[in-house]
Amino acid sequence: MKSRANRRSRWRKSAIGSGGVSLISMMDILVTLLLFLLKSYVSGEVMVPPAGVTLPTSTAQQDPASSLIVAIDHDAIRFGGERVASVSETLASNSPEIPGLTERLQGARATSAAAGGASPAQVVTIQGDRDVEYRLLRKVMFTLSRNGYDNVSLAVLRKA
Amino acid sequence: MSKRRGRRRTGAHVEVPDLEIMPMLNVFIAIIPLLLLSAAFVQISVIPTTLPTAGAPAVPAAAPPEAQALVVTVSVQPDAWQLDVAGAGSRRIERRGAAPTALEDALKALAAGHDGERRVRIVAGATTRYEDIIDVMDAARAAGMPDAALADGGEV
Repeated sequence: MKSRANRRSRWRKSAIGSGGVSLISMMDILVTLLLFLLKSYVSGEVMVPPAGVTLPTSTAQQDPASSLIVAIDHDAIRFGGERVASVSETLASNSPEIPGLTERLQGARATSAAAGGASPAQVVTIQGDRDVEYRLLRKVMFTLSRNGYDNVSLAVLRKA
Repeated sequence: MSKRRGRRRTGAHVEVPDLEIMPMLNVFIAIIPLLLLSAAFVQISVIPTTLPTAGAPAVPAAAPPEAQALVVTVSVQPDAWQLDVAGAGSRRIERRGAAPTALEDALKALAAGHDGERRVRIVAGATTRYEDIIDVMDAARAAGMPDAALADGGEV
């Protein structure tokens, strides 16, 4: 009699259990998500293009290194995320150099020098929108060159 | 009686412990946000380049034979690519209706007969789109000429 009661209680428990939250399904989802994230995990430099910049696609495979970032979109030229010049004013100007960018580059160089030690040649990565005109890109490059930043890379989206 | 006892022993209910998945779940929930923060869903690459030199000629003069360097100047025009090889003539490839690999094939053909150093100089116009320049760099890289440098077109 007692054993029958025990059996019934066990059956009731299992019936209740099957209707509860299924942790196994959640575990399956989490394991899949974990594997996907581990695959896309990046241990090195993570470069994120700023909003409003659509980078051109390329077959280049070289990973970005730690560098100063100059972003060019349809509206502004940004250095380290900070707006340094307007695109329309830069294009209207006859000068091949961009004064706002020059100022920031010199500031960055001074900061680097103040940090002490012989700093290696600083790398600059240009994140240009794919529709940017060459005359604008050239002014940015000229300004970089004029301020001693000759090591320049162009950021692109890797083609799948 | 003894028989009964024996049966009870063999048929005794053994409690199977449930798999404790909660600690594992907690670990997963801690790891996933960390990985989400450090994951890169958009793969960005870089193309090292040399800056255009002001005053340098867009198309260099014929190189001396001992230099053994193939220098191809690709002028990016709105409707065509103009290929100039130092001392070996030029070729124009219309972009409209051309195969996607037309430029790459032309550069490959030029590079095929040359074993020495091979370089590409890209001459872009003032209004040339940045993406068009990158496309020429890609074509040069695919043709085995990764040293593609920007040259001053003189009209900026």
